Amino acid sequence: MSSELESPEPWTIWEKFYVAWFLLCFLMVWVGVWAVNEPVSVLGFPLVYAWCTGWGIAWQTGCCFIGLKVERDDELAGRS
Amino acid sequence: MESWHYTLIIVIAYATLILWIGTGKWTKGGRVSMDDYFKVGPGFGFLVLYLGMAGGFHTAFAIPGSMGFYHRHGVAFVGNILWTVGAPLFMIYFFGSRITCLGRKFNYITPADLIVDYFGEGKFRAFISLYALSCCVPLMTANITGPARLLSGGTEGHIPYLGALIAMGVLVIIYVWKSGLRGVTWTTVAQAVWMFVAIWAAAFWCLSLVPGGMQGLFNAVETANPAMLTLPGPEGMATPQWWFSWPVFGIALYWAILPRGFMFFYSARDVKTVRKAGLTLGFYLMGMYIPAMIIGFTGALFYPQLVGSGAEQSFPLLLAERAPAWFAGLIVAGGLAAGMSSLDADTNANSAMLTKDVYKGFIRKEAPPEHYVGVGRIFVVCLVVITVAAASYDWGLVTIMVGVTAAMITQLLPALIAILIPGSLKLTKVGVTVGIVVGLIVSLAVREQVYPMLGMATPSWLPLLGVDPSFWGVAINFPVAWIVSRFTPLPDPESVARIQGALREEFGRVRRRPIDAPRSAAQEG
Repeated sequence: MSSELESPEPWTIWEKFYVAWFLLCFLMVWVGVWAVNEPVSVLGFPLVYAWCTGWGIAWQTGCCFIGLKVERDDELAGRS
Repeated sequence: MESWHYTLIIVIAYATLILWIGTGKWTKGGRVSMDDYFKVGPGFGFLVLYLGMAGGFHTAFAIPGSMGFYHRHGVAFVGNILWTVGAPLFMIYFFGSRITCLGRKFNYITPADLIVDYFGEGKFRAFISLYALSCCVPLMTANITGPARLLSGGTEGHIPYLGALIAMGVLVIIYVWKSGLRGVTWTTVAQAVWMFVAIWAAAFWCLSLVPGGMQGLFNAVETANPAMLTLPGPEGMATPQWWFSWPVFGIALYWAILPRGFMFFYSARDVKTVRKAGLTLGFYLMGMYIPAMIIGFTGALFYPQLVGSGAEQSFPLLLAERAPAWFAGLIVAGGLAAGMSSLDADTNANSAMLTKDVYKGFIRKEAPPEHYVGVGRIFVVCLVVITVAAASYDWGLVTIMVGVTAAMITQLLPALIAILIPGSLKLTKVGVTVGIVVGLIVSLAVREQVYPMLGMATPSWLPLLGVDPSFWGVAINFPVAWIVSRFTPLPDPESVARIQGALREEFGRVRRRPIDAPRSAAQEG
């Protein structure tokens, strides 16, 4: 004989990745930019601009990819 | 034909297209009710919601404001990445999906519906509604001002500024009157596509004006004004404190919780649709502003004499003096698209708040649904007329008020966190109200531009530590709301349980684990 008990479920690995990637890229733009604040050209773009845009693209692409994994996991688990 | 005729023809073609899209059969709802006028009862699917939000969240700041910013403050505007990417991935993915969940479950129409359902009805509803409304009217004014100047300049003044304001106002009234949020969203889909194409086309055209392409532009800027290539920029604005506070507290945190955002969230088909929009919206938003630097830098090279707030005129001047007329028309229409796409969404949201929260809540509580929709349409006209009238004055107040809008809307954050994250904050109606008022007063008190408006000298200690005023407002709001809530009556536990239960049902993460049956005394030995 057995019964069921509800207990908090830990974050899935993809959810942890989402938060970690979000924070990493956010900090790279927010804080990291001060380490590259020089009038240097990267393919004609100012380094500050190339740094922020590059991290922005990585941030968006990474979180989108990971977030879709989270959605897929939720669907498999029967959640929204 | 004179060159401005071509510009005018393209703008008329744009206006005709928008009217057709905003009033076509696809904008017809199933029934006449507030539920299907101010929002879309059955809900939008992913693509329409995506483009609707993408365009609807853009203001006239996209065209020509962002180019003027690059011209004036150099590369500092790239800090906007923190909101174009961060806000959808955090605010829409996390908060927006929760607002959708509750909005669809309890059939909310306005932001106040959500807030008072948790904290309790009464005058609080009117307070929240009028507070949010007072935030948005300046924003509407700003959204009509920039594009109207662009249109007037693009037609070499043959359409006067006031005429451009009225033309835009009439367009918005027609399709919002007829189709409500459906008209707003479908036109915004078209506007989102148009302005995206326009801004990229403008960037490539600007590159064609500078010998040597992108590298040539860099070299020319480095020679003319090297401070534009690094932080804090030519005027020294983008200090670390500014970079820390403005993109996050001045934009990212408020941008998704404007009343128009609520209308989009309530009108999503389901939670999953909003979460997917949150995951992908950054591609569009970031893509919109990547080319703005090229345009702003080109404007700065050609019109270095334009300084201060005059920098915003460099792109319209560039178009008027150097672009082929048909191309200028395309860009001017793009500017109209940027402004109108949020002006119409704000008009709809504000009309909803006036109708549902103020008129239905306090003036006429019982009436047929058609009556309320009719009243809402009258509010649409009134709001646009007020906006056009306000924009016809050339005052600096609008620019200041846009910043104040951010500070005002951000003050709603503690209440929303208390509602949307069960167990996070225990706040009360009084606590939230006092927090909002104190937070707003503080954010105004630390804003430099407020003092000259009041005829007072700006205090020497401003800007306070160089940080954006929105930050100070939020920083004081949270503790004040929390402390006052310790001593005031908590919300109705049944309402709290119902709302938190709905969130847990949708987002709850519980694991069902089998447990062993109790062991008998014999088994225990």
